[in-house]
Amino acid sequence: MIDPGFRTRVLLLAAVLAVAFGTLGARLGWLQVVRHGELTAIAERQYSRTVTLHAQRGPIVDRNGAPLATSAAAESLFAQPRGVGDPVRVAERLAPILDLPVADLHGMLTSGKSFVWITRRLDPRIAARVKALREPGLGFLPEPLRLYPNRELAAHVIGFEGVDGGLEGAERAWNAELAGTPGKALVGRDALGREVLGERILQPSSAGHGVMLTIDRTIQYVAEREIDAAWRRTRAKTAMAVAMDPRTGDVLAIAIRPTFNPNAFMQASGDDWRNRAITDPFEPGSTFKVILAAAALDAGVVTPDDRIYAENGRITIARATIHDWKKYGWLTFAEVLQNSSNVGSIKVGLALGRDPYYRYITAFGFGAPTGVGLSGESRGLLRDPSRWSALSLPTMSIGQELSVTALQMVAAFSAVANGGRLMQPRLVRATFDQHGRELRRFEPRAVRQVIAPETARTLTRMLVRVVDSGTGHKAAISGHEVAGKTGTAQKLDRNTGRYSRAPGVLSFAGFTPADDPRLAMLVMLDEPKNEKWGSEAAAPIFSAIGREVLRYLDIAPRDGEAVQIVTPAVRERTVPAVRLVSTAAAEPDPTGGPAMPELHGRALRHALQVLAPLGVKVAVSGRGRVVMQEPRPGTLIEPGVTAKLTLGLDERGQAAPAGRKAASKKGSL
Amino acid sequence: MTLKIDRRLLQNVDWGLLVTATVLVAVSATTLMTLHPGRAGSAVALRQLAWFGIGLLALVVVISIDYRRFVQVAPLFYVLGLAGLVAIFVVGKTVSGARRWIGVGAFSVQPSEIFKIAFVLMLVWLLCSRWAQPITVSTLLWILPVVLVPAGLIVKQPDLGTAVLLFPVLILLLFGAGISVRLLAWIAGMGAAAMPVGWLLIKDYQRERVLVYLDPLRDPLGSAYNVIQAKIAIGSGQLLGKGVSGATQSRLAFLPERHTDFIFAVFAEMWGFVGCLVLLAGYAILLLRGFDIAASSRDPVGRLVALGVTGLFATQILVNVGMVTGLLPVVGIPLPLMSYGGSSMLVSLVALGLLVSVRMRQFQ
Repeated sequence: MIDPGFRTRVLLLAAVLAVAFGTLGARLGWLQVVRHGELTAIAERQYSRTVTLHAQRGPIVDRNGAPLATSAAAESLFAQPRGVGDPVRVAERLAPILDLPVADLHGMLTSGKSFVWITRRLDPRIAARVKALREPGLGFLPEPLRLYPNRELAAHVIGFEGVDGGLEGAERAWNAELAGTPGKALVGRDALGREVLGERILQPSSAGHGVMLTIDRTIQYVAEREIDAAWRRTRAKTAMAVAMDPRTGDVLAIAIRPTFNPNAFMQASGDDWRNRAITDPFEPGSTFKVILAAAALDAGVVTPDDRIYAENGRITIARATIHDWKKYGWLTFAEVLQNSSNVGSIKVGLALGRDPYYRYITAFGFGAPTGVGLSGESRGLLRDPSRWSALSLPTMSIGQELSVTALQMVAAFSAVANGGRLMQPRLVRATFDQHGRELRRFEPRAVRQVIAPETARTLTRMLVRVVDSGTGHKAAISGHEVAGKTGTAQKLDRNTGRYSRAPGVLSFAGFTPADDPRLAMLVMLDEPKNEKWGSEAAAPIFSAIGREVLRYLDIAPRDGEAVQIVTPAVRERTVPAVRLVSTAAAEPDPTGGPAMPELHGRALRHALQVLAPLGVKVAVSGRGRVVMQEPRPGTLIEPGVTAKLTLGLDERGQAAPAGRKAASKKGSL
Repeated sequence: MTLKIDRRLLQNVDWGLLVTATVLVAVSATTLMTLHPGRAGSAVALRQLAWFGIGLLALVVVISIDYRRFVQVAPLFYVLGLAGLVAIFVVGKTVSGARRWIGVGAFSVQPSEIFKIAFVLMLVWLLCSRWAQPITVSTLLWILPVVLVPAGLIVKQPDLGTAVLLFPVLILLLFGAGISVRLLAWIAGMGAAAMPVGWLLIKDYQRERVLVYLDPLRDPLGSAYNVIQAKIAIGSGQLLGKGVSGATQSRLAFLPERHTDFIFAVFAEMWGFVGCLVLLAGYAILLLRGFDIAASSRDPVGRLVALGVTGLFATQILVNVGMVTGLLPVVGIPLPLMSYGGSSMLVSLVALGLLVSVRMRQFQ
């Protein structure tokens, strides 16, 4: 029956079994003892992932601490398609919530990628509804959201931030300070990508520093309002106003049209992003006669009362004839400036001479970038004297054959206003840390004494006469002395190579009050369609802006009469100044600190304005008006606390009135 | 049938075997419990233990009856088993693309698991028949359909693993039944020749598994995913293991089929090389005792029953661990006593029962 060698056979089988088990053991030894390092590394890589902790970007505030750019945290929805159960069902459930086509969602959920963004920066209520679906494979990541609460206001100065940091304006120039340092955290993940085991922060993120600009939000607003109106009225190609404090070189406002909303910068053309006040030089025309006058007076070539024969309105040099608009006879030098006589100016220029004139031009800062600190700054066009033609000195005497940027021009006029001392144009006052403590302060810096203080005084008197009884009379501000000069420059016609008859650049540059200048400003209209003369288009804008700024700066009118200042909108500081808490001078608050204000129903812009001076970090979610706030109103604000604001749309689905900027802005000023 | 057990028989119960099996099940339950935190883990472990209890009852029933009775009625079991395999195609449940289960009340039964026992008994019945001795080519031709029909049915489910399992058991029993070495070599040759045919018969995904076995980087996120993840889990266990809480591969669901076919990788990650050797030693004790029972039995039927059952265990253990460690292609075979699954647990204990039964009656 059964083979008698059964026992032997079983032993043989046991031996085979031993060999097989030995093989398994060897295999395990190979994997667990020999190759363990490599396989352990793979396992760790698989379950843990380093994630970037976004640093809170520092705010940009105006010179009084009013927020111009702030950061908030928002949530972005992503999918990990491999972890999504049934893409069809998930897409169908998501579509109505996100208001996206089912097909698109399905496409994203079935893409072979391991990670897909579905919607960035979601409305918190929508995010909550998505979370309520409890679908695996969907997740949220906090993403910082940059807000520009004043929308278009100072857009060209502030610039905007893209995915990789600041792209334009101060956001770009000061990106290194603003950005902060992102941190790193190790997050355990399971096979579906869900975060498990908690986070281990390897390196905490450090918030970016705040940047305080020299821009004054109120002055900026006034300038923008007037420039906007003029731009629409004249249908000019571009319009701008650049305002400066001549004593310090502080840029107070740069208003430019066309403009854009930095919150939605992608919707504007790249052309509109440009800060034309520094990037686009223009031929100044008659305003440049002020530079000539400064040079000639300072060099002692003329005095205001020297008489100059204006040749009945025409002068021929190097076979070119240059006209005046009126046939003048004998004029004093002051009258030359007052009437903007080309002939008279050319004669003075010729008397001054090529090299001295060039020296003064460069001393005023023309032909070189001002170093205001924004990128893309143009140096303007100023040829070296060795390359000047016979016609160059005469034409440059009347502001042609060279080009300047608006900022250069304002800086030069500020130098005249500031007793002949050219100040470095300054856009940033200070940087501060997240607690509002000052880190760096930028003091005003004098570049050089361009003309003698006496010369500056003389020139100022001449410029006052230009406004009082000359071409610039429309720039006058009642109760204050304005010194300034109009400018009209024809543009070179590209086709004929000659100056075109069409309106070119109309400008007015000046400062006020003449005896103690607080505001220097250039107003410029490029190719206005409706108004031809500089004195008629730019000067009244100067007047309109200047009047409000002087009132806002609380400068008493010259006649000394007690005037009731009836401009509550201007006086009312809706924005309490941010305390730039100096580390040295930190005073304890006797009241025990501020309390959380009631923010319900406020637009985000207003809420941020209220919170800014309290040193509260703000996390915002959603759009519209504040519907929820944390901490509750009246709660004592502890240092370093983060206020959580949840925004929502009102019944009509309208965003907060921040969206209706024209109305609300007009109302507040 | 009587449940009365002779006292003498009780003296010969192989307690060592049963204790080893119980320890293995305890290891299984703790491993399952740690796979999920909290209650989910305990629930799975409790169900496994419940099946162990049911299996123990079955074991008691099995040992109380003379195994020769089972062999006598083997053809009946076999036909019932075949019927079960056929029934799958009519009333079967589909899980992960395979029809392997039949719902019985609240439970799902896997007929192919249960069939394994019937198959062993049927082969023993055949090989012990007078006409089958000595084993010749004609014997083999008679036996062939007995293997091929169920194998075909099981492959169709598809459950390649269980189907493949039938052949080593057959070879082992033929060997134990005294087949001549020449004939055995001949069979081996035939088997090798049949392989290309088998290649054409199996399903695409099964072919892919074999290809992946040959080249694991062929499709790291697809068919090779299991193997790669299992290797990572085992390798990262290192010498002493990561312990329960550190077993990221297993607990974070990187490892697929971690309750069932790949439970060995979970254990390996948690307890390392040393733990694995201990576990393999446990299985080795089980198998060596099985061989010992076969060798010690004076009854030819008992010998073959013991040998067949031990072969069944041995093949499953070797194929499963080989597959999990990447030595063999992935075929869905559970690790006896360790993998979660009621049918498997029940069948393992019935098989153990047969072994114990042979030992008890070794002198009869």
